[in-house]
Order: sequence, then C-alpha cells, then structure tokens
Amino acid sequence: MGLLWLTNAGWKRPPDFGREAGRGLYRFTSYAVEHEVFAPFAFVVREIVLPNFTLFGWMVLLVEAALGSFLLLGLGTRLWALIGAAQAGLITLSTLNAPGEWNWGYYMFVSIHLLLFATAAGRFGGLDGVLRPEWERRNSRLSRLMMRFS
Amino acid sequence: MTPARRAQLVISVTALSVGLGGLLVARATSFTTARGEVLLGLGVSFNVLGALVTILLAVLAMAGAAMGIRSLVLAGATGFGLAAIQVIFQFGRADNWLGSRGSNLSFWLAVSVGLLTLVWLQNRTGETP
Repeated sequence: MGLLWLTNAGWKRPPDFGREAGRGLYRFTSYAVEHEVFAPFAFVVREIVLPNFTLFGWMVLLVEAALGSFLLLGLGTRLWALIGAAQAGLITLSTLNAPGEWNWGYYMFVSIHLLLFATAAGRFGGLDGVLRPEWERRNSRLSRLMMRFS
Repeated sequence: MTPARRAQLVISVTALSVGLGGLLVARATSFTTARGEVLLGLGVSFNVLGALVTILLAVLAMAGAAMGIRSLVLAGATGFGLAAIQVIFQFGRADNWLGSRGSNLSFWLAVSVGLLTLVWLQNRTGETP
C-alpha cells in the first residue's frame, strides 16, 4: 500500500494541480460533482474544495506522500492505515461513479487499509517491530502514544 | 549486528538501488533537467544530479550502518530530509534541480525518517558499534 501511495504522489503536480488544463487531480476531484456519489460530499467539493484548489492540492500531495513514507517503513502503521482508509474513502466518494471505474477496486482500497490496521502490520517486518520494545520500556507520553499508533 | 543497524542497512541499500536505477534511466537527460525520468513506473523520477545525490547519500548512510558510525547515518538522513524539502519548493517549477516529483518527496522522506528513527533508537539504548 505504501508503494501505491508513493507512486500516486507523483502525478499531483503543483502549482495548480491541473486546474488550468482541467486534468490531473483537479479533474478527478471534479468527478465528485459531475458524477455524484454522495450529495453532501459533492456539495463540500463544489463549494469549498474546488474554489480553494491550490490549498486542497497541497494537502492531498503532503498527506499521500506521508502515507507512502510511513506505510512503506511500517512506522506508526495503525495510525497511517486509518488515515489511508479515510483518504481512500474520500477518493471513493469522488470517483466511484465516474465512467470506466471498477467499483471493487475502491472497496478493496479501503478494506486493505482496515486490514493493515487490524493486523498491526508494521510489527512484522516494519520499523514498529524494531521500535516497540524500546517504546514499551520508556514510560513517556510519546512512547505510550506510539504504542497505540503501532 | 543489532536490529537497528540491520534496518539501517536495508533502508540505505534500498535507497542505493533506487539511486542507481535512477542514474540508469536518467543517463540520456541533461544534468539538471527539471523533468526527470521516471524509474520503472514507480513514480520517483531523476535527472543525473538527482540520481547522484541519492547514490551519494545512500552510500554515506550505508557506510555508517555497516561500520556503526552514527554520525554518517545521521548525515545521510539529514541529506535525504533536505532533498525531500527541495521537492516541496521546486516540484512543478522550471528550476527543479533534482528532476524530482511528489513520489520523490515520499521516498526521500521515508529514507530520512527511517534512518533518523533508528539513530534515535541507538542513542536511547546506548548501542555500541
């Protein structure tokens, strides 16, 4: 999943994220309005997201780049798996009804993140597994937090 | 070898492999072209300078991990962190020195955070080479 996010951070291109040419991230986000999945979400995209697209584009790029980084490392995996599930859910609400999209792909996209959360995948072969013994030994607030996030 | 050093080696060898692959795909481009060549459809892209920077930093971190010299690993991690910051300021612009894009931000951030976290672990446990 980390590699998937990492790869897809590549085509979110600043500074306008495709707004001028009507393609890229702007086009895919517009699907939420053109091929509505959930009316309140389409309203938010039309009234808030699209008029402030540069800010939104940067937020998407940074969140997805971080998802790629942390899921690839297996660091704070449960936290990032939940963030990934939320982001995958938002993407689903944008593009599920767009022409040519395979619905099951989106259901799997969300489910696989929930699976990573449920299995705490970073403890096996990820940095969480290397760091947890030390977090367990320390009794700081950050360590307790990282124990939950991993 | 401790788990922390082993993990540092895995991360730095991965970075080295990506850097060498980047050099291979970017060999026909100009040294600092803003639009780098994408490596194997993975999203990360490089011009020659970007690939060389990645290789250099990876070798630094790898040597540090292999010899147990934390300052070398730290230097490599800091370099990767700076490379990630470069993406934020230059991706999509005409003066993109390393020919990078969003995927490079993700990759270099992963390498930097991974190495830094492991150096932190070594410091906490008082690990000796």
